[in-house]
Amino acid sequence: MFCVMMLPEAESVKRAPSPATLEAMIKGIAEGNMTALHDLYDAVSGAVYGFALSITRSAHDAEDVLQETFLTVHGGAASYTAHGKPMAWILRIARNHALMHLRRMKRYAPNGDDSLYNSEALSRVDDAEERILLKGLLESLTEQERQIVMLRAVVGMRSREIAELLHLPLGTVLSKYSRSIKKLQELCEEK
Amino acid sequence: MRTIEKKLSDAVNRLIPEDMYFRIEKSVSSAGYPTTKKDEENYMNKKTKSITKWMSAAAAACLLAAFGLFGGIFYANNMAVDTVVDIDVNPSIQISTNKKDVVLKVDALNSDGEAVLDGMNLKNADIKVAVNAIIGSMVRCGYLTDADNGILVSVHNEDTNRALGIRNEILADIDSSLKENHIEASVINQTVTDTGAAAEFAKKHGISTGKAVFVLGIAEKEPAFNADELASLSLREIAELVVRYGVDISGFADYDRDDGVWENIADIIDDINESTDASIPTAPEGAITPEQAEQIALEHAGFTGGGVVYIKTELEKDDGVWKYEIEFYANGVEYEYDIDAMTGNILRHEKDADDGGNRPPQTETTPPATTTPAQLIDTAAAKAAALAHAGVNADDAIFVKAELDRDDGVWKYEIEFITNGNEYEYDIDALTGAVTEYDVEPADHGDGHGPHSTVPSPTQQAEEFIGESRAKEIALERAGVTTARFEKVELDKDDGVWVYEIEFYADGVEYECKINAITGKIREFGSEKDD
Repeated sequence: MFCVMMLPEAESVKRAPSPATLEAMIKGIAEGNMTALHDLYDAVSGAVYGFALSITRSAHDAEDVLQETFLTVHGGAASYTAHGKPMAWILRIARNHALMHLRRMKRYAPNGDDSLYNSEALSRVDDAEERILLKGLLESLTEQERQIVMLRAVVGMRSREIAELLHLPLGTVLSKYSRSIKKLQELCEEK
Repeated sequence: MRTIEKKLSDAVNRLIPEDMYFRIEKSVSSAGYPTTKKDEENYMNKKTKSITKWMSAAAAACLLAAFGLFGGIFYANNMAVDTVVDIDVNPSIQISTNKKDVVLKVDALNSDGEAVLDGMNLKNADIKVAVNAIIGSMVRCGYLTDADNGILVSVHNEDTNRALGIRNEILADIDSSLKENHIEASVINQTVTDTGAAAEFAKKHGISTGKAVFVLGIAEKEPAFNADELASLSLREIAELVVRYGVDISGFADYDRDDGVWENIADIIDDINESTDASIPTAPEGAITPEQAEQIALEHAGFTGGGVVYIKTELEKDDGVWKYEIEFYANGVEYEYDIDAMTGNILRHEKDADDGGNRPPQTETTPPATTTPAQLIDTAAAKAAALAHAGVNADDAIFVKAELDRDDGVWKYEIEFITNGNEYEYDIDALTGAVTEYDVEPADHGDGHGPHSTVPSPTQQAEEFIGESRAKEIALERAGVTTARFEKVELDKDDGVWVYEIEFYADGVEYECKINAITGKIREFGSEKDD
């Protein structure tokens, strides 16, 4: 009885490729390899964009941050030293760019909002539930909650790593995360 | 069913415009892109310098011609220049119109301006159309991408009222054009009626008359400034000086915003200082430069330069103390420094040694490639190691996963268990039993992490489920073997039913099965010859 049984793949949150893989890509970029740039984009664009979105709350700014982050990564790749934490490096760059955008927004349009652009971007998301989640994320969560949810759900970081990155106690990350997910879940169920 | 996390992740990925990579690739491959902060500064400086040299003889001639007409006789309503509008960003462009606001000609006053006008024929267009096209092109060419931009609009007309009227129309056009392009920019505007001295000055310095008027106005208000020096600065740089020295420009220039001119410019400058360009010293006299601060940090960290990636160098006033916040990477370590901007003293320094603490000592524990799982610790030992680390009593823990895995050549156990409402994840080095990674998550949220997120509370579960050892027995029974090497025993939800997923080897055969965690019934069973 030699039968092959296929177990359904347990669905879990997709984590970014291993640090070694990412570092190999960064090395490739430093050598001027555009394929490596594309690979890195495929690997982390969602993470960078999501993280930027959680800080800026603006799809427009998040796009800019994504682009600027890749430019900085491209420019800094040659002097990047492999140390096993490429994702943290990339996210720090992204955060700096995102914060710059935020400061600019505060200065220039303290009451301005990107809701129009956001809703335009949201219209690209066909799935109604996904739209509700995104809207909920942008409108119903605090900045810290947004960041934690994005880092966990989209970037695929562990709570401990998030605590390190955001300089928060692990307990705070855990409780805020579970509270936020509950909130989002309720929003989904309301509809 | 997708978890909330998965849905969010999918949703975020769908938000990213499809041409995003194309945009990145394009900007990356555009020649001369700065590679480091230092390069960026050099790059910016060069750019600024090139602007000061921009004016071609031809453009100068145009300018002269335009203003030669200015005070002269009007040939005819249609042919004579009535109004001249200068638009200065980095590109400088001059639009000349007749009395009917129809464009007679558009001149680029510098090379950036030429790039903006490239191929556009705006002759005979309405002034509004021309302004709109020019602003649009500035955006497309990348001159108006940042909120840092200031636009100087200068309207020249002998008739003050007419100048004001045209100015208002143009400002409205620019405003809507900026909105269309999602750009925030501060528009400074002025109306000019007498250009006699300014025209000369503009010609001498190769700048637009509008800018000349602006510069001369400032120099007049603030004798400390040399108009000739101001002329060579970019609009942004001029604005910075205006704010730093508190020059009141309200007498001759105006803003498009409701707030006072003053606040608006101050805002821009503050913003520039805070965000994009930390090298602009707003620190009081005698402060060290960002380069010096970086040097102090580098020396302290023991680097002589090279191999350092600057993440941030920012001047900040904190509790009344000016300081540089510096972050950089070198040799795989992230350094953070706070340097007193006045004294150069190191106020705080931090070295992110995150690699030391949490990362497995892989080089020491990596088993040789020939290591077989037989030499490794068993699952029970791995579980014990995880429990010990978590400080959890074996009786309180419910294991949902204990899997031997090989990752980058290292054998490890992936252990997951639940207790006190928390989910623990551990990676245990299978050779040494050392904890190489761990994570704790609250298990109480409904649709949390991974497939086993709706795990009932431990007590509830413990009573209901048959338990791992019973599940293993059932599996062995079914396989008709008495001993086996278990690769995986994981509690999981399968179509809403709690099951133990079990994988094991016996007599060279790999078995996989799913057993109902409550009834003990085998739901799936399969085997495959191990090769």
